Amino acid sequence: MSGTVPPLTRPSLPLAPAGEEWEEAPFWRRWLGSPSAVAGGVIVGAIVLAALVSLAWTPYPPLAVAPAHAFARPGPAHLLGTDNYGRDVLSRLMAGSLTTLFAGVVSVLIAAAIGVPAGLVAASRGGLASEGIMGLADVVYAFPALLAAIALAAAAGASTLTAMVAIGVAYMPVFARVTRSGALQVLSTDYVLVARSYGRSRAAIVRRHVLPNITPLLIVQSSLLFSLAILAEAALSYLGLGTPPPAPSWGAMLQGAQNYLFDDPLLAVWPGLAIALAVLGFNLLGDGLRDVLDPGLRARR
Amino acid sequence: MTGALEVRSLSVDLGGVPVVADVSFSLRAGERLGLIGESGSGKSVTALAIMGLLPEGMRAGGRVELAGEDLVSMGERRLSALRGDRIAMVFQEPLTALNPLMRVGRQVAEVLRIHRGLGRRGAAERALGLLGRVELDDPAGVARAYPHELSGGQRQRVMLAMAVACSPRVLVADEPTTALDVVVQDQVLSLVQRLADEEGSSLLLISHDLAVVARMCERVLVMYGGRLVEEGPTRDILSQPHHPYTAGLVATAAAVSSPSGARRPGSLPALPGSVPPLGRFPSGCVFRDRCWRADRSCEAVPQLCGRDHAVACWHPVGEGAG
Amino acid sequence: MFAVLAVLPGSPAQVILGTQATPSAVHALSAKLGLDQPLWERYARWVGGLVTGHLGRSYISGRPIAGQIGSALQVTGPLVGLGLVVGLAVALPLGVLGALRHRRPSGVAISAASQVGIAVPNFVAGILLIIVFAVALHLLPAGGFTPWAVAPVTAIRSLALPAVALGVVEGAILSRYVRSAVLDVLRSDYLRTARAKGLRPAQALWRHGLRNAAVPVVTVLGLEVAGLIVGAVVVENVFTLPGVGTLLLQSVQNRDLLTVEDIVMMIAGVVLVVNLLVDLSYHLLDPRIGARA
Repeated sequence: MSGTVPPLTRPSLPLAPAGEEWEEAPFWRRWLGSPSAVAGGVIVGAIVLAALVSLAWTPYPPLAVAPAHAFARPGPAHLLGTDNYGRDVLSRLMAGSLTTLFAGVVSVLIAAAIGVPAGLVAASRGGLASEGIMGLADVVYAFPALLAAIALAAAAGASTLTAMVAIGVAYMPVFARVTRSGALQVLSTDYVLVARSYGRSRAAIVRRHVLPNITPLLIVQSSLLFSLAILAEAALSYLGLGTPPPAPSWGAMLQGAQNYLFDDPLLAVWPGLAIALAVLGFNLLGDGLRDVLDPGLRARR
Repeated sequence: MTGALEVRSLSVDLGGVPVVADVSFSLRAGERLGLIGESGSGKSVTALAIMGLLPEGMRAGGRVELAGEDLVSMGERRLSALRGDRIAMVFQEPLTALNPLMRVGRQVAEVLRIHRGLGRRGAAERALGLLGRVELDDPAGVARAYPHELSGGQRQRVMLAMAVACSPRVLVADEPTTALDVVVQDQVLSLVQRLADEEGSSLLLISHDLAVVARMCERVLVMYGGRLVEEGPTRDILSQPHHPYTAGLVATAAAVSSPSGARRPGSLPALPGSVPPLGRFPSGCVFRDRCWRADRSCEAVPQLCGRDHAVACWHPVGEGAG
Repeated sequence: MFAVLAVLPGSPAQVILGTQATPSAVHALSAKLGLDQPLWERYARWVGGLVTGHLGRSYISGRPIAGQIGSALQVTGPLVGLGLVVGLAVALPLGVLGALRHRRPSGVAISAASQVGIAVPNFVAGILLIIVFAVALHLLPAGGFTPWAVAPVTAIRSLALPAVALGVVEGAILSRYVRSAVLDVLRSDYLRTARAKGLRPAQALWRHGLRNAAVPVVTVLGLEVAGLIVGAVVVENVFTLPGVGTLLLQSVQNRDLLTVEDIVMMIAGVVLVVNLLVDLSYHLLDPRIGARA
């Protein structure tokens, strides 16, 4: 029966290798293709820039008090006006961005430093260790982060550091979970099986295969947690439990401005805007990075 | 001659990219017609276009006539009245095609409530009868179950009960047994055949499996790259395929079923390359980049030619092609 | 948590009496408050109190903590409830509409709006609301609270802005979950089946989609309620409402640790119970989960 059918040979027409056009576009092009990533990148970039510039230069010293110039309207002398002590709002916002970024970085680093190893151990050991770690993570996760920060501030006193520690510990479970599920996926692949079969140690497999593969996941998660950390730091400063005055922080600026809402509402608008913009920026960046780093990621999650 | 379903120049595009192009065929009354092709050939999209259930972003053109009415241009209200009543469909994956949060008895009864205006109790009773007709052992027990509590075969029988509830003129079955075990596959196919006969429904059976179509259908349409490339009586197509693609398919099926060729089940040793992704088919004859007979004349689109056994190819295999 | 608070430096007695107090005075006060007893004994008494509702007396004011929390709850409870209502009123229509129109400009606009809504913290939203409705329009009070017994209408008016500040932000977050749940349903095979049976699109979504979409939404609803409760702590301070959050903040500032512990544990307990309820309702909604359990 099959003899009556001529064998199909190689195609006579020149063929582009299958899927060549489908190869991934370069990283920056995929970045530019995602509106979220572009918008988030611009906002975050602007904040980082403002923070860096503030290290060397601000229009006025952010802590300089000038009662004569209190409540100045926005104008050429003070672009965003001055507050009740006559301090330049723009300068304080710029300096505050440094506090915000610093709080975000430290919180995310604390969360990652505990969460990632815990997730890796849970994934590669399994069994009792895994259940213990993830169980503990669940308990910590159920405890609201802001509440933990308030309690810690009550016990240890309010400071940027206590706020960051509390936030970092509270978000540690997010890293542990993401790391574990990502690592489990990698560990179940065939190439890990192959690596295992010729005797690579568990640590080597984690270093060579698991970590590189889950890095995109962790970067995306870091960006999203960053925005949560900024939010929490701002809330704590606003409540007077974060960065203590007179150091410039957006939350504390908002708190100070609230007393003068009827006199100068703009004073509250600027830091509020800054906080919202920063949170928006890191959220967009995280969403965008998710698309840029791994288009399949969104579908899986 | 007007069949139960007349498809005329049906086309579907997805954002300007053609998914199905210029498909015409006629499903005669009481006939069992097979539509065969690899995944990505556009056969499922054809079925959904006929039902007016294309996924978001896809648009259909051309005509699909059911008893003289064009389904493609029809309004949603009228179309809804026909679906499930005059034209019904069975889907490939019964687990996801059934509502996971609703007892299956209610899901079957719902068809009767929509189209026959039955009350809750009357519809439930009729649904029990239907579940019995699709050879489910314990109709009352099945009716009370949720989809996840049933086996794959049971679920597909439930889908069939829903589809034939109103004795449709046309029954479209899209890979109805692909998700099932081999033994169950066989039972469900027999059931589909028996139900279509009893209800007087014409069957359009979509499958990638030549053996399934050979067993069930009198006539076969072969689809590749969103176009019909060959059409004819099943027996002729199997013994004397004219289109190089059909020939490859038949050879592959033969190789897989023979002991010597059974070493690599699932692979298609006779067909070089693979189905290109959507929008990457060549111009002209869609198969020419994988065809050993292709030359410059294939840069023009061949039409489906021939009366009983038709082929769309500039260089058909064997003799007797139109 | 108790352990953390007790172990960290700064004895409550020291705080109460100030840094100038003599060690003997500190010691005497500690003895009076029962702080000189071993840690585990204090812990056991405290847990026992939590269970029986005897939360002890404040280290600072000496008043029973349970009573203080009770009156604060009369503000916080309605605030969280109203916030949830506002949140659902924002999230459900926006989420469903956003899913139905996700490819059209109006759907994209809804998505963008919710993205912005998520980014505005509730205390910022609260201050903006004060600026608009209290400072500019003089429609609603900027803060303060009249007890229910005195003037119920005024009480509602003082809760209106806080509830909106709280609810709109949580609603924006929730709307994204609603949107993706409805989108999943719209793309599901069973909805296609429902339409193949002859249901019109809206009927199919109503009869087959809503319950399926509810399952993932209810899951996050638990998290949202937790977010509302914690959010209330902050928002109460924006509007100077005498609720649990304000009491908590005052206690933190006074280092009234026992009150802090009680409130923190109470909130954590409520969050736990809400999560339990969500788990239960989840089982009722989805028969597949009951089968696996």
